[in-house]
Amino acid sequence: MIPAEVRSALVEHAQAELPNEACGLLSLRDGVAERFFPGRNRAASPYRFELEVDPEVWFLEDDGFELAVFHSHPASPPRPSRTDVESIGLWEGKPYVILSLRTGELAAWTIADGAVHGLPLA
Amino acid sequence: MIRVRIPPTLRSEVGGAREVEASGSTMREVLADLAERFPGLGRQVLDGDEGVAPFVNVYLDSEDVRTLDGLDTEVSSGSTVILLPAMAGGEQTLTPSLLETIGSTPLVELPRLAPHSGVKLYAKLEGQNPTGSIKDRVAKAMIEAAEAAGELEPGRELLEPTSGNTGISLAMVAKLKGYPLTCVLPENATPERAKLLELYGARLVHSPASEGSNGAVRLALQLAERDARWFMPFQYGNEANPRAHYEGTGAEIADALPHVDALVAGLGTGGTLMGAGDRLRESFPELLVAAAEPLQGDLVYGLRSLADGYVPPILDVAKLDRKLLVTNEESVEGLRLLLEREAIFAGVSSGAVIHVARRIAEELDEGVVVAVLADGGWKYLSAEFWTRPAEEAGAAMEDRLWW
Repeated sequence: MIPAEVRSALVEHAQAELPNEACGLLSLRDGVAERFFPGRNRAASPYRFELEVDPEVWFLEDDGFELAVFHSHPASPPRPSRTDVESIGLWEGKPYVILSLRTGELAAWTIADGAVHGLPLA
Repeated sequence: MIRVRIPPTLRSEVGGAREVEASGSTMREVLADLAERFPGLGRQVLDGDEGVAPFVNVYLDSEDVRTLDGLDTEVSSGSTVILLPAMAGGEQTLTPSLLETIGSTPLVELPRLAPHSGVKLYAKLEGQNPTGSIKDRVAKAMIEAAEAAGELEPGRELLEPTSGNTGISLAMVAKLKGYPLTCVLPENATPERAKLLELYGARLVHSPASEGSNGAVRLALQLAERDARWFMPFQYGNEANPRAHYEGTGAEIADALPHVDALVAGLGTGGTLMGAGDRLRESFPELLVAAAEPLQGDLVYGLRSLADGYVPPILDVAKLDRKLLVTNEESVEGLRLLLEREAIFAGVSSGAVIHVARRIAEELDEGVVVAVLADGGWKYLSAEFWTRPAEEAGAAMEDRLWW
């Protein structure tokens, strides 16, 4: 679940980064997003992202948080692209959130073994 | 000792530890030490001997080593190395420009044309470039090099002697970048090519059929001398031509194959043989570079017989290990074999190239031969090379320019 204030933080960051894709990490506890950590898109591109974020955020899992990787799709639906699937790397099977700026939809997924599964998002 | 923090996603590789210790004075040594003690972690973190694997970022204290000196970054005792997931992706549903679709062509195995099972034969399908030929690479490289050097700016016009493919590629690039283009082409270039050039918006100036490609070069040089508004990329003498093949064609083949024994390409300007040959020799020093060359007077037109008198300035003949002469009939035969056995509909010079590639493959007990097929067959349909009796089709090459 992504509460309204976290959702608006995502949208605000994604819009500020236009025309480029935006990215960041979300920390969740018991399935509820608590905070958005905006990242820097090292690729600085409308078609690509490479997430750069304070390294300490990655270790929040040690404090009982779950993490979700976030990025925006400026022009396409919030479904993982082929590039997203191929680049999933160490984030196999973990929460993956995409915001479409074209449709305003936010969607959550997991990607594993080349397959995409939707996660319910309230 | 150096402290290495392990992210949760990698801890299974180190028995669940949140951090481990490592030694080394550079990041390369630290990661090698880790890989030796934790092979599973090594596989996740290191990409062969080359560098950091694509899905991992390496930080020294709070700095990404890519912003420092990469694997050469010095690491002192007491510092902290942090391994992190590298997340990348992107929608990539759009290509920002047609120019970005140039290159990265398929490299396809041709099992039905390999003379025996010890040799693998591969074809680089350059007909998959946006205008259908390898010259897209050259046109883009030459124009962008001239722009970068300040030699080409808005208001200037392009002029190029060409019997076809280079002109079509230049016309595409010039249109997208906003430069008018005039092509000087021999009167006997195929009608498909002249038509395509006009459709792409190029202006045509014809040179005498009897003088072939050399006549077009001569006339273009004369025109350029007379009028300073012309900028002539001149593929025969432009270093951006072999460079496009060094950085593109050759690098793509080197990336795709663990080993290459022979590279075969047609001898036109020499750009492919020089550029891709140089690049592949760096990876495979024993590489044999072979040119498919038409018999003198028996021109697989556009393929250039050196005996015919013109040596392009970018061509260093000493870098060609072999030059194999090909008759028009053999080119036609190669062309038909490509289509009949491998379902590859290729252009005329590809027939000559595949003929030579198979001859070289026959000489090897085992190995890998790569043939660069410069274009597709579409622009040659009017000649009916695929349907006429072979001898007649070979003879029909005599009076037209095919390259």
